[in-house]
Amino acid sequence: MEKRTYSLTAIKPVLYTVVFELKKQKKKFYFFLAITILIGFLLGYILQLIPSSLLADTQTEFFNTGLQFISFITLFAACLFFSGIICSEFNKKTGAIVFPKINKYKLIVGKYLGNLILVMAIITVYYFLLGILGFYYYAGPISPKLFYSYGIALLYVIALSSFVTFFSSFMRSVNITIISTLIILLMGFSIVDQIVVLIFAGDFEPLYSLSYLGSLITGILNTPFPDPRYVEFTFGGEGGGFGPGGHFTFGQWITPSIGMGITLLVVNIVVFFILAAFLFKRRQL
Amino acid sequence: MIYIKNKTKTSLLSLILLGMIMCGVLFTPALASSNYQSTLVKGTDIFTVSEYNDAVWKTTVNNSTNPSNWFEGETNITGAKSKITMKGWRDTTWEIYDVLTGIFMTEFFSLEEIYPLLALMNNLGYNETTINANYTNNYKISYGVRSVWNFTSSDYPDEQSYIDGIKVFKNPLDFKSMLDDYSNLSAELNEKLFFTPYSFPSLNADEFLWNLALNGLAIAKPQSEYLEDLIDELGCENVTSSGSTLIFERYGETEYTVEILYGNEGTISSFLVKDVDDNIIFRIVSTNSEWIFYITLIVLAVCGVVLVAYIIVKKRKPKI
Repeated sequence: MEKRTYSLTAIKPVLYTVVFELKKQKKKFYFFLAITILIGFLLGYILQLIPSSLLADTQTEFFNTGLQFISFITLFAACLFFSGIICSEFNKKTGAIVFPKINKYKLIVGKYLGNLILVMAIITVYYFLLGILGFYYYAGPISPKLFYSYGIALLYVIALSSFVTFFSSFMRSVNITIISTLIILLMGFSIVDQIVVLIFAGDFEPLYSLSYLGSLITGILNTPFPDPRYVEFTFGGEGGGFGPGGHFTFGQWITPSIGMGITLLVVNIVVFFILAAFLFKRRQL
Repeated sequence: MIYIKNKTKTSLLSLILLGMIMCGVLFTPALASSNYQSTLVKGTDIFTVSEYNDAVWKTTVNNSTNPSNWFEGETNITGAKSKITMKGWRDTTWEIYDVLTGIFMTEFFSLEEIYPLLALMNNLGYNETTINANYTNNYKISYGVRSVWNFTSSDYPDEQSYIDGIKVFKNPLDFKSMLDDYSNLSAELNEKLFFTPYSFPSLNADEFLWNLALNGLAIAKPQSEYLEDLIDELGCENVTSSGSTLIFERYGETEYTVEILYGNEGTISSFLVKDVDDNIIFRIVSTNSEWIFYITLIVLAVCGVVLVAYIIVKKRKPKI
């Protein structure tokens, strides 16, 4: 009984922080929610009001098309919601208080969970909207692949949040964290991925890249699952590849395998959280 | 003075607006009645084989076939389901070459036969340009594309069975000129194709309409007038219409009747085969899940309103 009371007392500060964070980020949440609903509605409903704009052949293809924007939404949401978790504490000097009223780790965990709930809610609303529209256009049952994709999207959000939290643990200000993580996630990984594919072609899979791992969200919806997962497109020049124009080949990794993708997302989550905790501890000293 | 001037302006504006609305109200039905309107809607219809009597089919319709000859898949199993998703459509104008390749050839020849036949016709001087130059009728249509899942008694596969075209001819009177053009053209072509394995079958109005009905004919609104015009113009002998239902009197092993009911969207809503004693041999009915979607929306809207009301009430409540 005593032990239970103790654990409840221990959790309470985290819960209070979660509630506080939910209230604090309310406006940001509403903004993202409005954008998410708008994108889902525009892609899934308004666009389909044009008769000549053809619906996808199947329900899973419809979901696949609708989810092309999910990586952008999750990426921006993760960067904007999680960038201030640790660095704002030091920016506003609250992290340097020697005898804080609340355990700093509990505070960080509470802030993280609060933001995670909000980002997950945004993703859930988008999937819900897409699911309802998929049901409207293609009738039931809703493909179970949508639920697999949803699971991977949540895992991807946690991985992104751990990545941003890691950056937040050593960056000086929130703005710099947002900008640097956005640049890395939006452009950095893509550029490196392309260079790697140009050099190694199909011999080296860019499993280090978070944006490549994120492609599993839509990749899992493909029927059948892509095999081979590395494809090459050849463009013939003048002479159809034999003439003076020659031809050039463009290679692309479509998606990681399901097992490998999930494993690496989990690995990313664990590694970045451990690093973030370690740096946070060092920064306090 | 300014007040009176403004008042006159407002009254004039109101009169003009009222006039425009009245004109719209009066002229819309007049225009609609002279033009048939396509009513295709994007979405999915589910078709279910609700009744099938194999023994009576064999003795009445055809001893050696079952409904799979008309609708692909396990149509001979009661409870089997098919799904058709309307993907979209485009208003376009067809010439006789489009009608020949898009309606008649797809009905009588397989895909493997069509390409060599078109090549052969081209060698004989019958290509798109020459055919359209000799037969100059144009047909306004809404051409829809749909994904079709064949009838199955188990779960639908993820991928559709095939992609199909659906045609809504804007003017039912066009069917007559289409059939006439086809009859003349097929007679010409059959002469030239005499020493080849290909020949175009000759069609009467009843057979033409029957083949169309089985292969993606949709009708425009108002549907009952459309069907009446269609049957009258073609001069069908054993086809009649009743409201939105097309009724074929056919003969297989014995006489039987096929009733095709067209729904609000202009596509097949139910398909019924009866013997002369009105016993049902085969029936397909369609349903769609739109109502579930709308119920979900209503529930969500109600939840939203309740939530907002709760928040407002809670905020207004004075704290003790």
